[in-house]
Amino acid sequence: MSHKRLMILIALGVIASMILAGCPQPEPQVVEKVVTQEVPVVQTVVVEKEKPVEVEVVVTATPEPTAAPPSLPVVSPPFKNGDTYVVITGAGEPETLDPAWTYESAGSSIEANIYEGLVWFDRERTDSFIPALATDWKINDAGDQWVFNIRDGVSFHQGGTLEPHDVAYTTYRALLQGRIDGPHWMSYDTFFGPEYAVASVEDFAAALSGKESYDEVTPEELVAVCEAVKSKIVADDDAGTVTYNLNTATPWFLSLLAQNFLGGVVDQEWMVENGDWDGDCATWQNWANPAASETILLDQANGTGPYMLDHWTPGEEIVLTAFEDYWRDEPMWEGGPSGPASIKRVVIKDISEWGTRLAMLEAGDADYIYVPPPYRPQLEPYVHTWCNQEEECSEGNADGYLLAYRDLPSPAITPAQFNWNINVEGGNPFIGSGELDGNGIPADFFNDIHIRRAFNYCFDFQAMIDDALSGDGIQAQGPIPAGMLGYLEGEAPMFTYDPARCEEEFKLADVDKDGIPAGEDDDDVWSKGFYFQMSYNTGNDTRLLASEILKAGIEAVNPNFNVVVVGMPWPVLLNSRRAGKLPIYVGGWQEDYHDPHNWAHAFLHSQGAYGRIVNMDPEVAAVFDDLVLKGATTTDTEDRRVIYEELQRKAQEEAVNIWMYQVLDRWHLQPWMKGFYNNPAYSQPPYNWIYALSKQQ
Amino acid sequence: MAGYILRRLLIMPLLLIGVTLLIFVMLSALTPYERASLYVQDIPKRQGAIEAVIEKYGLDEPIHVQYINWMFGRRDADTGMIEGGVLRGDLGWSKVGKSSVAEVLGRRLPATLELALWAAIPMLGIGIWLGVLAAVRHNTASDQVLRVASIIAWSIPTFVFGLIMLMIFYAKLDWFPPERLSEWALREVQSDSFHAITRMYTIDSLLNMRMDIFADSLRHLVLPVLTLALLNWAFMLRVTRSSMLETMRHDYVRQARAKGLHERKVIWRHAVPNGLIPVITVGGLVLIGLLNGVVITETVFNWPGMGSFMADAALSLDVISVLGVTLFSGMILIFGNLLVDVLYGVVDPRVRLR
Repeated sequence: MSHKRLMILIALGVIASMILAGCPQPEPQVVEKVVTQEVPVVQTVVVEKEKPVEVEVVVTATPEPTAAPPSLPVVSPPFKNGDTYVVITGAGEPETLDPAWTYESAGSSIEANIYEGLVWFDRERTDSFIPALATDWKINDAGDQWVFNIRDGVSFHQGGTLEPHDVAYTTYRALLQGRIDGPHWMSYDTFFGPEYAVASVEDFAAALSGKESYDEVTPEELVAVCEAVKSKIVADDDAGTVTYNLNTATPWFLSLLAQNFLGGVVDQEWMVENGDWDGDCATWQNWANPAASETILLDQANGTGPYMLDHWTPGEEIVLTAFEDYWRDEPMWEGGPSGPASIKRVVIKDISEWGTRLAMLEAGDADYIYVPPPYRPQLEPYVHTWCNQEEECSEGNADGYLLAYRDLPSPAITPAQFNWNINVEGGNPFIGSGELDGNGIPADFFNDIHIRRAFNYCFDFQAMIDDALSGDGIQAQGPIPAGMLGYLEGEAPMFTYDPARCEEEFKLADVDKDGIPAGEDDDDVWSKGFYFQMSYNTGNDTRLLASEILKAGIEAVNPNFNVVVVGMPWPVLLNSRRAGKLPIYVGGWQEDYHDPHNWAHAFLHSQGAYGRIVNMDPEVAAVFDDLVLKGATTTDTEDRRVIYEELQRKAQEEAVNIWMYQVLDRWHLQPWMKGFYNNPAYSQPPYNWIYALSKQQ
Repeated sequence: MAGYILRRLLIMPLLLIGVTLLIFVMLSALTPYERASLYVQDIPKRQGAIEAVIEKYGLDEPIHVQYINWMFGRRDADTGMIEGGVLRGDLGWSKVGKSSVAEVLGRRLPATLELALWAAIPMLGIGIWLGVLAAVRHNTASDQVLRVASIIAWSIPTFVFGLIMLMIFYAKLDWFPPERLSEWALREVQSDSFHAITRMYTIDSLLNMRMDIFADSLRHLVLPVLTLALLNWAFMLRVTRSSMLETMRHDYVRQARAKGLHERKVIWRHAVPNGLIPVITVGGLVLIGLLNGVVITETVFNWPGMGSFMADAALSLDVISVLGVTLFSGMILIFGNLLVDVLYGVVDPRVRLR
């Protein structure tokens, strides 16, 4: 072939490849519907990125899904890596693998495979527990003392043997480590009472010593703090028991113990050998409030769980291998796993690029990939079998191959939270003039129940679910999510989008408190109108849409109503929220432990994480505080159900917030993955308890 | 020339200080709150954490004080010990990399180096060859085709090209996977029996006499190399072509032809060596760019190199990592430029470095 011909061929090849690349891709033959993604995405969801943070903290710079890979006909990939489960996440890596430190789902879901507590969830159930490192337990009549018999013959990965003192050490190490911003405010609450639910062990030590700050705590008092903590968890190696002395009856204690931040048992001897605290009360403060990098369990692990940490290369992969000496020799539940794990190796990678994740799934190299809600429609043609929470399955696309679970309740609720008593000290630009003059709102604007109800009726819940959540959500009914004790099964949410009712409620309001309803009062809100700013954290498009939907609903009923949506950087927004200056705040909550108390306290208690920014009217707040406390101290499940149902109903009647939505999860797995079930209490159900899974061609 | 090199080396610390100062000034646009939020994972539930971080790391101190702390270290209020300090060899803790910045750089550099070295072969080889060809066949059909092709190749976004390559050659055909190695090969490489000497898998596999791993690593290199090469190949083609066209108009080329030399000899012995002089400068700069990490290519192919680390760090506002990588990149840039200048002087005797 002459040089010239060769060149022409090469050139033609190049041009053809360019044209091919530029051509529209062929429609998938099996696509049942064309999905138009209208959400201007960017999402790495929340729930995955930072468990304890806001439910939808989102930040990615990648413009998605504009560069979505081309859709080609669905072809079933080959079965690969027979003994290895390859998990591709896309929402960040753990902060650390120290269970006592971890307060985010990326870390806790991995630790759940390495460490074990005394109890574990009974398969998909969130309110029933089976023994794990305990064989059984008993509770005293007051419900504040729990005695656990510790299992014999359990080995740690590095060779140690489980003894009761390891369990006690684990717990008091966790409490005394108490890093700032960590999960142990719940532990202090449980063992010492709600007044000690503080941010770090330093604050806790100061509070317990009656001092203003940690700096004022004397060495003797520090020892006393340590001894007080130790007195709450008492091990008896001879009797083979561990006793937990709680502040009061705590019905959710097992749920709390199933969480690794409190329950993930470590080997005391091994910890000491590797440089951690030895349990001496004279020195605990040297290990207190560490940074993630300062604990010895940052990137090494020694638990009793079915998987051992092989290695973690940050930015690349976390690899777990099956622990062949795993103690369990009886099925966890009927048909459940026993003995060493079926899957021998687990590779967990965090890949932020959606196209790469999808390609790995299509090539069969990934057994599970994280699919953010906006991309879910893209995967629908690939799904051969759809299953739901009850594991009832139906056929999807006959030519597809994936196994997908959808409509799964997620323990995360996002409301728009009213501020009933807005802080105006030093000025407040969010509420304009601060007066009822059409150019602002007064500080107690949302203290009027009719205003709150009007806002609820003006929010188009269905548009939120359809447009912002791609259909994967349900309207929240109140602070307690669907499926949990206290959720009003069979009852529709009290508010629906109804502009007429919205207008009616606005006309019933009496913002100027002259006793005349606004509909009949020229000086009140219906005639005067209002203006305020509604902020969201920039980058979070779900919240932007929620804000825009509310704005549209409100402004549609009266041209004098003016809501301005303003994007703000996250920390700046939080600072304003903390100062009590935001009139409305859209922010979600993901549970820490699976009990309605975690929700009721957070949203409705006057000292709850969100309750305290709502600034409810003292009379209303007192009612909620009483109910929350009552629910927390009642031990009988049915009695608690009644209390939480009352709370749930009352939270709607009072229109405390706009209870916007609860996201529904959806998981996609390769067809050869067996044994999956969805437990909403898991941080990441597809890889939170890999022991139950197997891989079969 | 020795004096020139010495002077350039002496200037280097000043340049590095200038680069880091620039970054520091840019970072000062972020409030202490914004920077502290990086270290606080749980803002909504527990208040007060941000202030603690700001105080602990002195983020509210004047920017010049923060810069000095970063350079020389900062005395810890609790222990009284000096912590950190670039001049003390401590680039700081990488929040994104979960280890010291120096460790992360040591871990990520081999991946980037391997990718850059392999990409350099088609990028320089084919780019230069096609550039020469286009110049020699100036204004012919092949020249026109190559020019158009290079413009198209230069225009295609790397992100789009990489993803399309990935979907066709990996997702559908399963020929060329992303990442550095297949799962089985990675397991081998991580085993005790494999000696990771350079941490560049193509080289290490050869040193370990593991041709299967070598073949696997080559398979994984195909798409990222192709993606990188396409863009740079088009660039090199155009630079080479221009330079060659200019060279071929010189008298000594005409002289060579007049002597009756074979055209191939005229081109490759007389024109190319001179025509490539500017190409050395451009090629050197492109290579330096590759060594600093190629963000998009590494992201699309999940290649754990410097580029993806830099991107993660920047997106996470991991200031310490950004500064560390910037410092490292600055060093590569300065050394690389020095090398190019020296090479230029060697290749072209007319250039004397003083």
